[in-house]
Formats: sequence, structure tokens, C-alpha cells
Amino acid sequence: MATKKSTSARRHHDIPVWEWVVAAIGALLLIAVVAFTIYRIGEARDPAAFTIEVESVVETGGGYLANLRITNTGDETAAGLTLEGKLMQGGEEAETSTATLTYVPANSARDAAMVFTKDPRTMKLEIRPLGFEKP
Amino acid sequence: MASTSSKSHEAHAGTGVVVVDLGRAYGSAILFSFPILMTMEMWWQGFAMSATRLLIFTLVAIPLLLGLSYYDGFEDTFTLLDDVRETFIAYFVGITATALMLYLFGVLKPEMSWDERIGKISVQAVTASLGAMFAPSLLGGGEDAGVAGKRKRKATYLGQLFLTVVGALFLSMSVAPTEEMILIAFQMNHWHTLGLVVSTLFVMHAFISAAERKAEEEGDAVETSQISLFARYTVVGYAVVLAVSYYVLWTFGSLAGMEFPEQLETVIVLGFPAGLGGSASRLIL
Repeated sequence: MATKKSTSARRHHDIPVWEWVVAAIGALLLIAVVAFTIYRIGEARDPAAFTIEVESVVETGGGYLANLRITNTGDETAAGLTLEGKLMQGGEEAETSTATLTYVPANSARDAAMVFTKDPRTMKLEIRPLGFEKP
Repeated sequence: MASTSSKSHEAHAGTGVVVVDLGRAYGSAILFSFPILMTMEMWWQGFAMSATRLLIFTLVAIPLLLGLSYYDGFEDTFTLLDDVRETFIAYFVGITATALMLYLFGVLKPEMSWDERIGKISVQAVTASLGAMFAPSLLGGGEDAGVAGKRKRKATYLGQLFLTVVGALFLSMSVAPTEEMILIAFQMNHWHTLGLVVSTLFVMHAFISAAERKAEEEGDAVETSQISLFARYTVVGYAVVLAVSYYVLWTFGSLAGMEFPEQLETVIVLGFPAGLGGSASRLIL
């Protein structure tokens, strides 16, 4: 590659500064991506674990919508995560609903919603993950 | 050249060149990578792909970009330093174009971790930066025009195998992460598989002899018989293509948990687009 015939009128001093600037930024980005990826290889890998928050409850035509935010605090991605939500009234199960999330990647959050016919605001809402696929 | 007036004229022209050249590189990067930028399996790779495979994939891109810069690239290059500079410019264009498009498609969201965001961008940046490198030359006009094209036609045997690798990798990338590769392999019986191998070889040979004829007409190659071409280029090229297919499928984790016969079938399925890309690269790239 270094033994090319220099038939060019363009020599090094002819190369515009912007090309060097862009190339330098490109090199930095490449080094950053490589360094970050190497750092990720060395990371400890905790299994997927979830924290589930009820962000809001909205009344809709068909009932009540509980908007959820599911955060995977682990380092492994969960696919097809199924959640079960129970409305508890005086220790009794008043209603059950489920929601499925296609993917909840490691250290990331995803939004979902559960539909109830009874108002979750008047009862205790218990949500737990049932299971998922390891992609 | 030495006078102040002509220098200021050059500097003025330089600003226009920046916009046109970078614009061209961005256009080319997006043109060649939009199919996978709009593929959800590709977004999922951002968190599904292991960090080790992502690292290898990114590192593989560097020699490919360097080689492509020599044979193609957005301007004519004459020294290794030129190729290195062009490689980093292509990577810059590739990664920023990917980040912008994925953001505009709503793929990147604030609740995602940096692992996920950088993963999603860096996987696709490889293809986009190869795409940026395909942008035709603008700067090296005049008598120098087409140095890379000439070089491509005169490429040595190893050089041609290199172009085969790039073409195969590039074309297979756009379909490799999809579920359909495995589905097609399952749908095919042994006769289908055999037929696909023969078809791939046939199409590859057609492209290879077309490129050879073009090179002969331009006086860049001596006349060769079809049998010699088939043995030296088509068969060897197909072996290279299958190796590239295997690597790409391994990178995307598509072969995980499969027995060898099923793996081979999937490799042959992906070998079809890879073979098209690999053999057409000398003509098209």
C-alpha cells in the first residue's frame, strides 16, 4: 500500500485541514467505541432483575390503565418478559391482569401498561415478573 | 499556485469541497446502510450481541476500510497515510450518520442505558462507514481520475479475494440478522440446498467473467479460459464467501444452539446474497 506511484498533483500540504480534523474526530470515536466495548467485556454480569414502578393510572373507556416502567437492573437482557399484576382488597385477590414485554435490555428501562376493570388507585396493586426468555 | 490570490481562491473552493465531499460520503453511508438501519433485528443486536463479538466486528472494520480506501474510497489515495485518514473520515461519517438516523427513527430513547445506545450505534456504524467509503471520488479529478478504478481492475489475486470479502460481508449484512435466514434454511430440503449452491456458483461465475472481460478489454488482464477462471476465482471465491457468511452469522448469534448440518444450511442460504456481493464487488464497488 505504501509503494504507490505518486502521480498526483495533490501532496500532503494540499490536503485541506478539515479532512485531518474529521479524521481525528473519527479516530477518537473509534478508539472510544473500542475502549467502551473492552470495558463491557470485563464487566461483572449480574442476572436480569427488575424494578417495576406504577407511573400513573388513567381511566379509559374499557377500564383503568396502569402505566408501568420496568427497569432491568441486571447485566443480562430479558426477552418476552411476562408480568402479572394483582389488585388486592382486604387480603383478597380482586382482579388479575398481565402484560408482556418483547425485550427489556440490560440496565435499561421499558414502558408497559396493564388494564383493569376496577380502579387500581383504590386498592393495593402487586406486580411481579413471571418469567422471560434469555436471548 | 504561489500567489496570494490563487491561495485565497483555493481556500474558498475548499469550503465548498467540504460540504460536497462530506455530503456525498453521508449520502452514500445512508444509501448503503438504510436497509439495516430500518431492521429491528439489527436494533436488537445492540443489546443481544456479546461485547466480545462486537469488539471483533469493530476491529475487523479497520483493515476492511483501509483496503477499500486503497481500491475505492471517496478520493484517490497515494500513501498509507492517505488511506488511514480516509478510514477515520469514513468511520466518523458512518457512526454519526447511524446515530442520527437511529435517533430520527426513535430507536434511541432516553430510558436506554449507554451500553444499549452505544451498542446499537456501533454495530451499524461498521456497515455505514463501509458505505461511506463507496462514495465516488470527487477530489481527485483531472488526470488522476479513476486511479482507484484502474487499481481495482488490475487488482492482484489476493486483492480480488479482498474485494470478494468486502462485497460478501456488505451484502450479507443487510439480511444476516433477520429471522428469515434460519427460516429459509429450515424450509429447504437437500435438493433445494444443492440447487442453491449451484445457482450461487453460476451467478458468481457470470459476474466474475464479466469483470474479467472488462479488464481484458482495457488491457489490464491477459486472456484466461473459463475453466481457469472458474477454478481460480469462482470456486475459491465461494469458499471465501461461505467463510464470511459463517463469520457474519456467528457475529449475530444466529447459529447458536444449532447442529453442524443446520449451521451449514444457514451458511449456504446467506452465502447466496454474500456470493452476489462478493463476485459483483469488482464490477460495482
